[in-house]
Amino acid sequence: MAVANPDTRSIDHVDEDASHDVPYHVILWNDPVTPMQVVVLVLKRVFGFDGPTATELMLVAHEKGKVVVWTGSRDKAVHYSIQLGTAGLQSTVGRDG
Amino acid sequence: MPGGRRSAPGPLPIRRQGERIVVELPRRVRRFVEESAEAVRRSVDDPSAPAFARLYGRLDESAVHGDPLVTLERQTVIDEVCRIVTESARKDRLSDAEADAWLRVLGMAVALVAATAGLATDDDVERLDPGRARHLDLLRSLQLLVAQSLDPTLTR
Repeated sequence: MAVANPDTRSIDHVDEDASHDVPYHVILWNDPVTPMQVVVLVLKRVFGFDGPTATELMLVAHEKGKVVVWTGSRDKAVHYSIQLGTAGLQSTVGRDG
Repeated sequence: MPGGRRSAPGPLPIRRQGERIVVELPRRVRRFVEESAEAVRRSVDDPSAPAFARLYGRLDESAVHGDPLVTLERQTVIDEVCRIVTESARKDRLSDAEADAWLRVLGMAVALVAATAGLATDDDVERLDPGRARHLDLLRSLQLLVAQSLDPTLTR
């Protein structure tokens, strides 16, 4: 069985391990303009949260200014952050909540 | 994050009816929705605009910033939802996918207003000039109507 381009495979493997070893957070920031119900709905649709979970996260962001809404690989965190951003919600990706 | 509007008597102008979402909006409001999609679409192309950093700024301190794949994914989503809204703005019935695009475009339009007017606090919103305040109120009212049609369990 031929092994195609083993160098590339090795690089991919290192990147994949690194992304799994270091958890990234998606941090949702409060904003004064988006209605609370809309924030709840977007959290439910993007992350699949149930209503109480999404509502609690929205309220923490509202009261504290920000909240960690998801933790995991960097690639997924970036994807989720883009999904929030393209619904008008401000978020960042980072290692510190 | 402000609370929502109170429900008005009579049928809502955007509401779920079975598998579809009924839209009964005046022509000028539909035009407003189209213009909002156009404004969001234009904002992607202007890095010097005040809203650009708010909508498309860096996601983190790593190499994500400037990553062409991230830029491409974001641009693809924005292009797609703006296209869907432009094509469905005159329809009387929306699918859930179309309503989801409306929700996204209206959300980004709200963020555009916030960035352009420098709205960072509730007091900033209170001090908005009447014209921008009406613009923002209409966007948020439409946002809530679309949100409630997509998820009737949301509180009003």
